[in-house]
Amino acid sequence: MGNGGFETEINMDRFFHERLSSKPLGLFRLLWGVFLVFYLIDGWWVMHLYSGPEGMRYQGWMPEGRYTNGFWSLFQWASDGSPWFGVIYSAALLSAVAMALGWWVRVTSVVAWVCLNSLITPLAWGFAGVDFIVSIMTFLMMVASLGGHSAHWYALQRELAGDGKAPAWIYRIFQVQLCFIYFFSGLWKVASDVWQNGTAMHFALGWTASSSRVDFSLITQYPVVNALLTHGVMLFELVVFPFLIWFTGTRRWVLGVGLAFHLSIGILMDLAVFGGVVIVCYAFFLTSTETEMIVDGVLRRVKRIKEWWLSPVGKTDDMK
Amino acid sequence: MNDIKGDSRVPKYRRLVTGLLLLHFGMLFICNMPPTAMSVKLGDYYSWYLKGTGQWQDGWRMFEQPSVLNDFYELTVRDVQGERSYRVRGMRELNVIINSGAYNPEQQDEVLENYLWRKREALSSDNQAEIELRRYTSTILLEQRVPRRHQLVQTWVMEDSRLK
Repeated sequence: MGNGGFETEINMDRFFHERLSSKPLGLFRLLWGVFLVFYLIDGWWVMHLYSGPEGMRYQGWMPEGRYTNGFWSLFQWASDGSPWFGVIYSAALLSAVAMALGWWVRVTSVVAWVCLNSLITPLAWGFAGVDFIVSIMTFLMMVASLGGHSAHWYALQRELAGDGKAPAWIYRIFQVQLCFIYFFSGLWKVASDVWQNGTAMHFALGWTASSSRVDFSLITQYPVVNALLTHGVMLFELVVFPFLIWFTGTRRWVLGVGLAFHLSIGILMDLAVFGGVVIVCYAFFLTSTETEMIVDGVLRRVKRIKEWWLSPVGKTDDMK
Repeated sequence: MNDIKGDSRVPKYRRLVTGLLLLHFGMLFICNMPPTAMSVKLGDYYSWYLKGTGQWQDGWRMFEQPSVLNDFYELTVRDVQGERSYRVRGMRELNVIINSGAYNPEQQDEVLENYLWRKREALSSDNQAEIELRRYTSTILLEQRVPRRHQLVQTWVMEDSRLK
C-alpha cells in the first residue's frame, strides 16, 4: 500500500471512529422523542384508517407488494376485532415518551422501531415523505443505542455514567442519510421540466390559494421571483446542504438557511410535521458547545418563566 | 493513532465497522438512483435488508412535478343539528383523497367510503348523519395570473353506511 492509500485509511478511520461529544446525540434523542409523540398524534387517524378496528387492512385492501416483498408489519398476523391496534399504538406512544425522558433508551428504541414500522408499513394512500424519514430514523436510532451509546445526555435518568463521548460513525449514519435525502430530492427535480424552466414554484404557490391556510398565490404574478425561488430550492437541495454542511466555515449558514427553508415549507404547504422531522435531525450537525448553548438558553428561559409564574403579585414593588 | 497501534483487535473491529457502513451507504445510493438494468439486478441481493429494516427509499420526489390542478375538497355533514361544512386542509387527508384517485381510480370509492365513515364518526354523534365530500377544481395556468374560478366536479355522499 502506498502512502496515499495509508492516508486515506487513516482519514476514513478518523471520519468514522474519532470520539465525539455525545451531547448532540442526547439532544437529538430528547427532540426525537418529543417529535414522535407529535407525529403519532398527528398520524393517528390515517394509521387507524388502515390498521384500526374494521380498518382497510382487514378488508383485504392492501397495496401491491406490501408484506410479500420484504416489508413487514405486526398487523399481518392480526385479525379484525383484536386489540392489536390499541396495543401497538400505545406502545409506540409510550416508547416515544420514555425516549424523550431518557428512560431505558435501548429498550424503547427497539420498541419504537418495531411498533412504528408496523404502523407505517400498511399505509398506502396517505403515506407521506415524513413516514419514510420516521421509519428510517427509528431504525438508525436503534442501531445507535444498541451500539452502546444510549445518548444519556439531557436524560432525566442517566442509564450509564459513560465518558460523554460517542464514536463518530453514530453521527455519520444520520448525517449521510440526511444529505442523501436532500441530494436525491434535488436530483429528481432536475429531470423535471417545470424545475428546469423555473416555473415549479408558480404551481406550488398557486395551489396555496385553495388548500393552504395562508394564501401565497399573489407571488405567482412575479415570474422572476418564481424562477429565483425554483432554482434556489434546487441549489439548496443539490449543492448547498449535501456539500457545504461538511465545512466548518459554512456549516452554521447552511443550518440557518435550512431552518428558514423548512419553516417556509411548513407555512406554505401545511407541512409542519415534515419540517419538524428534518429540523430535529439537524441536531446531528451541532457541536458540543452549540448544543450546550441551545440547551442552556432554553433552560434559562424556562427558569425565568417559572420564576415569573411563581412570584406573588406585587413582589417586585415590595423588593424596591 | 497510538491507541490503534496499541491494541491489534481495534483496527480489525474498526475496519469491519467501516466496511459495513460503506456497504450500507452504497446500498442507499443505488436504491435512491433512478433504476437501471444493473441496479434492478443488484436489488435482489440487498433489497431484503432495506425493506426489512424500514429503510427502503426509491427517490425523494417531493414536488417533483407540482400539480397544475388547483383542487380543494369540502366536507358537509347533515344531521339533527343541521348542516355544517369543513374545508379539508390536512396534508395526510388530502394525500388519501387525491392519491387514491390519481394512482388507483378504480378503488377510490372504496377508500373514500372508509374515509367518510370515519369522518362521520369524528364530526357527528349521529350515526345516521349524511356526510358528503365535494371536489372543486380549477387549473393553474402560467399565462393567467389571476386565479380561475373553481368548479364542482365530483361528489361522494354517504348515507347509512354506503357510498352513493
